[in-house]
Amino acid sequence: MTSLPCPPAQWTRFSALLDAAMELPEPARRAWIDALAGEDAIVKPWLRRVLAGGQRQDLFFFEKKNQKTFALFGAEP
Amino acid sequence: MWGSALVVRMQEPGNAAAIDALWSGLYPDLKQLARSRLRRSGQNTLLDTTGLVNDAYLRVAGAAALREASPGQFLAYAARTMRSVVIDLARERQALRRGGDLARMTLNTAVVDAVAAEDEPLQIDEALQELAKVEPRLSQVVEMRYFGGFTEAEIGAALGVTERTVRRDWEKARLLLRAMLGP
Repeated sequence: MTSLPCPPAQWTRFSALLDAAMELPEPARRAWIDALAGEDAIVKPWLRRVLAGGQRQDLFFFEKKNQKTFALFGAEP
Repeated sequence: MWGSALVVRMQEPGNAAAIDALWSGLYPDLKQLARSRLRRSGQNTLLDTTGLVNDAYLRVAGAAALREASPGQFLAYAARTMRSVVIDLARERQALRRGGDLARMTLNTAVVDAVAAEDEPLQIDEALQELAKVEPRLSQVVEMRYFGGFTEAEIGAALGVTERTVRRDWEKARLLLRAMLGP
């Protein structure tokens, strides 16, 4: 059973901050997240976990299957 | 890019028979693509390729409401149809494995990888159902790209957003899905 990486009650805040973090270059993200304060600080652990997953592409087969699926349906990867 | 073909055909005036013609034209391509998947999968393949193509055709042709659909709606429907087909087939293969073939096989790395790859659409499908509750557009972008095979340009046109927005949605969705499906 899969579950969202952040509780739905915090999703709006989490999603907006994830958008902002994705705009930053990799080296600046950690400091930016560390500096989050007030109610934004609640979502720090979930932001860190989700963004860390983006660096583990070799451990996740989503990319490989994605290419196979595109090949199956004839679109570009 | 069969998504582009669908858009063009749906924009032609008086196209009551467009959907039948579209899928008739797509049939050989889909069949060939399914065959190429069969070859790549080797002896472990249990897919019925004719069934795959027929499923896609019959599901779309049977939807009378599509005749009134916009191009964007049509692409969205096509992606949903292919998602449904892929999930059905993945479930069938899973059931077949449980039925015996895999039980007689030696579980080596290649077999484990193959099983994981085959089950991935089921995991993605389940995660997308959760993601759709909070990020419906991200879920739709993944459905159209991962299951439907549409390009960023086609998805952007269908959803009324820029290609850049589609790319950002795709990257965000991948981050979220990795977190949902990863260890």
